[in-house]
Amino acid sequence: MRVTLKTHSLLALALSIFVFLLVLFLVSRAIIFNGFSKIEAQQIALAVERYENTFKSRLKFIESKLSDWAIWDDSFEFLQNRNPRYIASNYGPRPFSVLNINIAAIFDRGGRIVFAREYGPTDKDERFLSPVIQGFFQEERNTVQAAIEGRGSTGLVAIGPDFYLLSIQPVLPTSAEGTPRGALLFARKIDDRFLESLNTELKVHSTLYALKTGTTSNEPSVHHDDKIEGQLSLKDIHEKPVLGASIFLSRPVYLQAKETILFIGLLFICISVFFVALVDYFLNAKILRRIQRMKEFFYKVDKSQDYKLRYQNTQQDELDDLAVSFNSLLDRVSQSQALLRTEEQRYRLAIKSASGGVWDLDLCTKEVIFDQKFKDILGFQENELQNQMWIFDKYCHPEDLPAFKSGLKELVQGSSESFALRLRMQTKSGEWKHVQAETGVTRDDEGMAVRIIGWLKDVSSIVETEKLVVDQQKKITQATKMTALGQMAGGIAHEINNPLAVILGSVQLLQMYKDSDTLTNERLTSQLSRIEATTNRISKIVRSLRNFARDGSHDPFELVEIRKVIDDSLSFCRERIKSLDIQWSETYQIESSAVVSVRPVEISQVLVNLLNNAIDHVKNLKDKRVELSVDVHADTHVIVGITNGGDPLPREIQNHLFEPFFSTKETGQGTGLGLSISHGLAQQNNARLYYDSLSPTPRFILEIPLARLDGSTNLSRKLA
Amino acid sequence: MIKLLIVDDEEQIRQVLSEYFVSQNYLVAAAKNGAEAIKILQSEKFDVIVSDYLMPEMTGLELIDYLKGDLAKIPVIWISGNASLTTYRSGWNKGLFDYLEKPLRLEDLKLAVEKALAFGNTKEAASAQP
Repeated sequence: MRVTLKTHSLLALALSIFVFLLVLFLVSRAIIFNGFSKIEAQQIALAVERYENTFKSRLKFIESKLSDWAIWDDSFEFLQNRNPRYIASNYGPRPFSVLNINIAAIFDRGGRIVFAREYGPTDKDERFLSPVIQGFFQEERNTVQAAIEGRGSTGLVAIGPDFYLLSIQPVLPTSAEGTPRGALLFARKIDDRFLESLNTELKVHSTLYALKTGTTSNEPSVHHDDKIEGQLSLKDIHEKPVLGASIFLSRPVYLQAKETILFIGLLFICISVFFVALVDYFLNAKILRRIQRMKEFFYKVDKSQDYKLRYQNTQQDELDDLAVSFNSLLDRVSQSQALLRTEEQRYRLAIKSASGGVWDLDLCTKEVIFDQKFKDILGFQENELQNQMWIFDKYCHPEDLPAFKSGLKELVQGSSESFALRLRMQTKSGEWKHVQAETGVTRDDEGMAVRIIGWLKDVSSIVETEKLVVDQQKKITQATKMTALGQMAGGIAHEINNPLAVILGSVQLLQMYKDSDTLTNERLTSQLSRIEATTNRISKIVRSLRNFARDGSHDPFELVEIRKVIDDSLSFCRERIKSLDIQWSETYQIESSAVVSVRPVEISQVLVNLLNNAIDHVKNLKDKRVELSVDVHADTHVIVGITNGGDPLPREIQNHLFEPFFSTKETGQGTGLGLSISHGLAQQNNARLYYDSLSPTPRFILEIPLARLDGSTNLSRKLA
Repeated sequence: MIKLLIVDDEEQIRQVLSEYFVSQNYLVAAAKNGAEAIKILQSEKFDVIVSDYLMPEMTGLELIDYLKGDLAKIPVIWISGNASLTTYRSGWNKGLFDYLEKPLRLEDLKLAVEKALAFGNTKEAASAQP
């Protein structure tokens, strides 16, 4: 069940008020009622005392009346003369009524009853003495005797089941002197009328009951709910408690207090309800309604996703602080959303402009989605390609698949964030396409891969173009070489024509000697050996020429002595150096057996190009120096430096030296490709070609790593 | 005896030509470059000079330029493995008698030499032109 904030606060409030009231009620009850109890105990004690006194005063009344009658000459004389008029005039119903007694009896000196009369409270004519009362007189002979002898007694007596206020006095003359002639007894039955009169007088409610022999009722007070009870024991003439009285007092103040407390309690409840209602109203008006408004605003923002909305503040309190915080959060959200939108647009644009297909693998659900462009690349309609990862297994070239799969594995394992591969994919029609596959991974906060997103672009045309470019580059390289050969053609012709001239000359000499019969063995040998030597010379030139002209790009790397490569290259240039009157110098700070691992033809081409450039540069200058220096740097590299005379190249030219079609030569004198091709060839041979900008004259350096074969071969030999 | 100076940086060429012209009863001297030739020319008189065109330090053309005074009358024949028409033209302007391209037939060279001996030096004529 959803317990609202409002319910919570109201419940808490109501509960606290209830507990407060309960405590207040119990405390006040304890204090007030305790006080009341004390007061009531005092009251009841007082009431009991008054009750007892009243009881006694009734006895005294009877006693005093009896005394009047006993010490009276008429009574005294009656005992002597037994005059019936005395009885008739004095013991009729009226005196009984006036005296408020039930029994009157006169005893003579011997203790015998001379006269006795008993009246019921309502029976005015009854004139008899019940056997019970007669029995009592028998039992109480001593008391009667004591009274006859002059010691009267007054008190409570139990006669049979009833109780009586009784007094017995000696009968004396009015002078109260002399010897009593008998005794007079008055008794008043304690009946309902008696009790009623007692209650009326004392303004209490009381009940009387016979006490069992030996018990007393000394309970001070008993609190009933609506009345308080006091106990009293009354003693008979022998000082034996015989009658118990319960005296009840009503509790008007207590009841009033109780009502008041109840009223106050009700008042409190009303006040609490009022307060709860007030708090509820306040909560509603000041807080809940605004929270509700805020909640509605949040819902609205959430539903519409319009993060430009702002909450309108009305008051300057904590709720508004919350609203301000939320507004600033919305600012952030709308900013980042804008940023995100821009990013997304950029991304979409990039994807669109890149005209690639996208695939998206959710690693949690293993669901993969290929977009339509992806399917387009493979030539499938929208419904034709299932969204399954095995698409790659099926359509990717078996040679490319392992690399792609290990790339994915690395992404999942976390050892890389993205990878790019060229893949061959088979289309629906069975034709192979080259695709560029860029693949990246998204991770959660703990770095676990959750999503792999890939982008696929058909690069078949690019691959074709690249092939074309490579082909063209090869052709250009070759063409440039041919140009260089053309430049050197004169020198090469000279190189060949000279030895040819020697051979032809020798042959003609031989012919001449033979014709003139002067061909001696010595002459023959001399000419033949010359021809042989010169032929070797030609063949060497032709071989290196053929080597040079050949496309060496497919040659394997060879371990060659760097000296041999340099010598071969120089052989093409020597004639130019000679014919153009170049001041040539070569220095070798290198062991003749130093070996490099290169494609000799390509390195040769670089060197020839550099030498030709140097020669071209200085041929029209006064300073016709061209220097070749070969050094070893740090035992790891061969440094071939080609330096020529003249001023160093300006910085701008230095920056463009290795760019294609950049030439300082006059139009028609060079292709502008020499250095750029040489630079590429050097790279392909793990060598480095650069311009030495620190040199005072133009100087190019070709740096080739030395092949480390001596150490390893020695070692392997030793092992063998 | 006709005195012939052969100038060529290639030793084998010098040897073959010398051997041939000696066998043809010439008096032959050989120089391996322009400087050596000039040295020899200063001490001896020659009837004809056969010179390579392309040589280090001094080309055939420079050699012609050097020949002045009496020496200028000596006819010069170039033999070259690689020379353009432009080169020959510049030679002719300076009084070059003839040129032969390597490889050459020895008889042809002999004919050229003989022709030069017969027609004399054309240098004067060339230089006399306005």
